[in-house]
Amino acid sequence: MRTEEELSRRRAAAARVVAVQWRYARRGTSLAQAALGGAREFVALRHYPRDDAIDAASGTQFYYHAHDSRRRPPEEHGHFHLFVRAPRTARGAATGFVHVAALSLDARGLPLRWFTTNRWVTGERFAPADEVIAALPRLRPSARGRLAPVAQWLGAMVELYARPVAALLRRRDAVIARRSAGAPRERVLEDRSLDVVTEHRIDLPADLARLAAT
Amino acid sequence: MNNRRTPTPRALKDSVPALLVALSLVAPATAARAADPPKPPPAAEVKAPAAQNPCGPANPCAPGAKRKKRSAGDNPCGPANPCAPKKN
Repeated sequence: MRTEEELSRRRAAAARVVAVQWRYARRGTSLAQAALGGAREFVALRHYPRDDAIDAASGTQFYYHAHDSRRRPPEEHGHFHLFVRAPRTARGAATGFVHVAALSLDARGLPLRWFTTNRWVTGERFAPADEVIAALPRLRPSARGRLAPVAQWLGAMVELYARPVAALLRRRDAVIARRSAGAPRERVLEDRSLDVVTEHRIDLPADLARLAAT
Repeated sequence: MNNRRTPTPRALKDSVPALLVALSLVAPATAARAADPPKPPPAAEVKAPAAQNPCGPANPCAPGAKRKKRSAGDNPCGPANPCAPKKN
């Protein structure tokens, strides 16, 4: 059930999404360009920013990039990968990272889809959907300088689409479980033909209009 | 993260058409160019052409490809997986 509080949170997130895109559009540029952080060229597979944007306090990490995939929409310019890092142990050892989801943009910076991947794609510690979903409210994408609004936009998108992302992660686990019935789970997690496991198409204008009408 | 004033549904509704018009005027961002191919090995190490695309068309930058070892921080694709994050 959607509560008034949740609606209010989603509307605030929607306003931040619009505000950031509007700010770039007024300058004649887009979020897709801004995601490159001022880099002179956009090279396939290269991370933008180069060493990823990491918020040490929340363990949130993200970067933007582009590459071919059989499931890449033709209009995709690139996509963000969003991770959460496990807190360090008492002895300071890192305990790995978990891929939350990826978010595609078109060349004008409009979001196209959220999608999940199998373990092979990122080499993550593959965590069950419930664990990843529990981390969603704690995610704080952050960056300094010119990438700061991009990080703010990404955080707002997570908040705005928290329910679809949660559903996407649950469907991902269901797909992995179904395929694991016919093949070893390890093979499914490392299957290069299953790079994109589930996706959720986004129609931002329609979603915002629907939210405004709620 | 959500301490700001919540916009009214009306304000949100009104902002969408304006944003779409603004975005339609924005120049599309330049598409990504292909990554530079790995430098060929010295002549003595050149092998049969079968090794040129070890990963198949599905994922041309998959972990199977041998890459020239680079200095720390200079590996754009993560150590083994094309979408891995950078190490902390």
